[in-house]
This record gives sequence, C-alpha cells and structure tokens, in this order.
Amino acid sequence: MGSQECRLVVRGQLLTPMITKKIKFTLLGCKATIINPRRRYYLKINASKPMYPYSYISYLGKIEIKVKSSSLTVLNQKCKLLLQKTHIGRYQSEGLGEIKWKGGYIDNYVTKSEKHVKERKLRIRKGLPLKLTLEQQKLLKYALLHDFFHTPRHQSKIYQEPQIKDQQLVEKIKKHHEKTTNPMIKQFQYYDRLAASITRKIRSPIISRYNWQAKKSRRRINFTKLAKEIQEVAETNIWNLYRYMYESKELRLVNESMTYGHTTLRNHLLVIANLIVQDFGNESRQKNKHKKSR
Amino acid sequence: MAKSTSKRSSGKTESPLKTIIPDQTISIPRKILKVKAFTPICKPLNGSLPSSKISHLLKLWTFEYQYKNGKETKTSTATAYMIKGLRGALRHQVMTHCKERGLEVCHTSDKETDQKGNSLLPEGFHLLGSCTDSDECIVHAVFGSKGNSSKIRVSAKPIANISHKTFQAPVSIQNVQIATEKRVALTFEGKAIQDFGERYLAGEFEFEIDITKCTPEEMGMIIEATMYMHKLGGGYNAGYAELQIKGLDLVKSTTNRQPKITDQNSFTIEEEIDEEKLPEEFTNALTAWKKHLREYKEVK
Repeated sequence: MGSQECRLVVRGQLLTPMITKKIKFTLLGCKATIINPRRRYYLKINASKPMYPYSYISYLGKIEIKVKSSSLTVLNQKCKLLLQKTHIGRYQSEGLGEIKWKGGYIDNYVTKSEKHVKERKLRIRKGLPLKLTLEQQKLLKYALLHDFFHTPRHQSKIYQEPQIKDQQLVEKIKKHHEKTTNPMIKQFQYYDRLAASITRKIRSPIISRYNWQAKKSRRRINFTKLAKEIQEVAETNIWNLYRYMYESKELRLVNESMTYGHTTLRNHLLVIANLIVQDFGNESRQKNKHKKSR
Repeated sequence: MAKSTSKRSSGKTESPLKTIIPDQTISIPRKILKVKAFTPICKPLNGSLPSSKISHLLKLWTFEYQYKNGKETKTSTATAYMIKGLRGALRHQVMTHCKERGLEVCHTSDKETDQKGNSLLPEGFHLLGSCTDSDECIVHAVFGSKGNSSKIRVSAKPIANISHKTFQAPVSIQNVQIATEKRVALTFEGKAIQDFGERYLAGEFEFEIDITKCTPEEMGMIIEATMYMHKLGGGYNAGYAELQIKGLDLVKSTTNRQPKITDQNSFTIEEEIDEEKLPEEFTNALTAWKKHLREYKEVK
C-alpha cells in the first residue's frame, strides 16, 4: 500500500513575461509549470557600455503550482507564502513576472510504497575489478580490441592491425558487425550500441581520424608503434590492457566515428568495458540479495 | 521516477480545504508613486523580429474586448504591449539630478575604459558598486548593482490601441495611440532601396514606482527626479523620446487577497485594491531629501 498525501494546486496568470529558461521550475520549494507558454524575447540594452543588446528568454501564460504534503499546516503555510507573492523571476524591478492569482483545488495524491532506487551513474574505473571469470575476461578483451582490426565496414581505427596470436578471437572480432548466433558477439553488440548511444551526442562529420584535440596540439601518432604496444599488452592480461587504454594519450587523439567528430576512441572503449563491469556487478548483487532472502 | 496516481476525493468525507486555506485576508501594503505622463512620440522598442523590417514594442498578448455600437454590444480584438525602459530612464534622470546638486553617485557601468582605452566614466560619478557599504551612495542604495537587489519597482499597465471609446477589456489596460513609422535609409533615383519601420506610442499614460522599502530621503530624491523626467526610449537626438510629466501622487495601496471556497475541493481568489493618498508623507520626503543634501554639502 502506498502513502496518501494531500496535494494543493494553486493557479495564476502571468501578466508580464517571466524570465526563465525552462517552463518547469521551483518556486518556494514547490513545483511550478507554465501552461500554454508563449515565448517572448526580452531585450536589454546597457546604454553605458559599448556592447550588443542581451536577449532573455521569457514566457507568458497560465502558471500552476503544486504542493504535496501529509501535514495540512505545511500546506497552509505554503499557501500563505504563495499568495503574498506579486512578482516572480528575474528583473522584478522592471515590472517583469507580474502574477495574478486566480484560484486552485486540492486532491488526494497516492504515492506507491515502492521506493525508486536511483541507478548509479556510469563511472569510468581506473582499473578493472580483481575478481573476473574467464568468460568475462574474454568478453572484455573482445570489447577492448574490437576496433583495431579491419572489418567489411571499416578499416582498423588506428590503420594498423596488432599481430595477436589468438586467431580465433581475431576472426570473431572481424564479424562484430554481422548478424550471428554467437552469444558472446551478441552480448558485445548490445554493449557496443549502448556505448555509442551514450557517447555519440553531437553530429559533426570529419575527414580524418585525428580529432580536434590532435589538431589543437598538432601532434602526430606513430600508428605502427601503437599497434605493437597494444599487441604486447594484450598478450599479458586484461587488467594491463585496460590500464594501458586508460592511460593512453594516443587513443585520446583518435576519433571513434567519422560522423561524430567529438567522440574519442579511448572513451568509447572504456565506456563499453565499464558498462560490462557494472552489469556484472549488478547481477552479482541481485544474486546475493536473493540468497539472503531465502 | 516514482509513478503516481491522482484522484479527486469523494464528497462524503470532510474536506481539509478549510484548514489549508488561510482564514484571514492576505494584505500586501505598498507605497506607490503614481506618475501621469504624456508623450507626443516615444519608441521604447524591444528590437526587430527575424524576417521583419519593423522594430516592435514588447508584445504581450491579444485579447477580446466589448464595445457598444448604439444599442448593440459588439466584440473586437486588440493587442497589448509593454512599456519598456521606464526604470532605466528614471535611473539616468536620478543620476543627472544628483550630479547637478553636487552629489557623487554611482555610474551605470563598472568599467572605467573600453578596449581602445577611451574613458567610459564621466566626471562627477564613481564606478558602479565601488562605494563601500559604510559610505554607500544614495543611487546604489536605491537602484542596486550586481548582487545587490534594487529597492524600487517601476512598472506600467499594458498599453493597447483601441479606437472604440466605450470599450470594456477583461484586464485593465491603458489606451494610447500605437502606430508604425516608416523610415527610409537609402534612396536611388527617388525610390527607396533600404527602408525600415519603427513602432511608436503616443498619448497619455500612467506608470507606478513602488517605493515601499525606501527611506524618506530616498523617496524625496525619486519624487524630485521624476518631476524632471523628460526622456523615454530611443531617438532623443532626432526629436523622439519626449516625455512630459503631468502629475505625481503618493499613494498607500493595499492589495487584499481573499481565498473563497466555491466547491468542496476548489477555491477562487478575490483581489481588491484599496488606495489612500499620502500628501503629508509626500512633502516630508521632499524636506528629508533637502536636509540630506544640506548635510552632504556640510560634510564635504
């Protein structure tokens, strides 16, 4: 059963535009929304300075403020404070944000007892956790090396292929864009797409693999040397490989995608690895919970 | 996010609305200086819209109004605009007013020179916000600066251009003449190549200065400065932006807000404004301002 709270809704009308960037905002700790917003641009000229006029985004319309609480005295105090307001927002001294209160209503608000647990934000680890099964290690190795080999879709993103002894892994990596029944490749594809959706935000097509950071620093990468180093590290263990990727300055200067010019290859690889590690962690936690409940 | 369900409570149980809504009326007392002004032509503009040659006033909304045509009542629409730049005009007037009376007050800018090294600070002023809290100038105390909020609030009721004299609008508005002036920037063989338009307002209007938080000498300064206000908007050098002050009134206005229960769960808010003239305080403020000026000169 959920807890029952009383909700007070107070309505008003904005007579002059109110400067806000968003339609939803907080007013005296209450949730406020502007209904049927009409956008206006309030231009402000500073006559004393030789500068261009500054324009503020402001809104006109009806305003609705919602307060919910189980105690009626809290609602009473909030109602009093709201009704004492004549102006809201910035530049009240110039007459902006004038409000006229119209009325309101109350209703019962039922919240579910199930508390929403906030998921942890993705954190890029410095190193991989110590306890990893062989399957996990394989998947992580696959994920960290998948962009360094030629595929039908694209060339190696560092132009050179590291000469890795495990040929089965290389063959699997070359198929990472194809439709397969292999569970490991399927699992990887899910994480690859998830990481791409996280990192690829601003679309900016580019010509070369070097990104804006490389152009700024005017640094050139020795790709053959880089491929050799990756090969050497990959043959030791997964922890070393991850650490190498984490500390690599060269991978920061390389783009992951040609259509998204602000996503680095290092970031993409680390995001995939961390998503995999986080999911393993969550699964193990859930299993532990079930064991305790039994 | 937690999902929620909302339901209107049934009418059988006793409504908690009576305890939530305040019993007494909420009254907000304010001291307001009402200024009646007239302008033959004035352009307090808000810039031009994209794909438009005309610089507009700040548009608020369009509304319907009723008017009488003989025995019939008809409806029509009009647009309401906002008068911008009143506070800025008042501030500039107060600054020049103080300078003429020998007071050194804050300038509008906190910059001393521009990029080329030209001085931005005229004589008789100091940089904005440079006066300390102990020796704060009167203009900084009233108008504030970045981080220090202003004590006053200058606003005017929205204006509209309605040709019908017997109009009844849902919101209180001021009826003035609003039109567009077409101007030509460049001609070739008698024809206009580059032209642009500017909206202007003309007629009598009223604006209010909220001086509740001000001390008597600050009130006196504002009252005296508003008497000499003569500029509003742009184009002063070309003959526009003329402002004539017709009258001043210091008023104690209290807005009373009374929430009234209409339904078991809903309520409306009724608003009333009571006004009372304060002629004594008006004269007292002016004498306090003169006293302040005398003391300042003695100290100097």
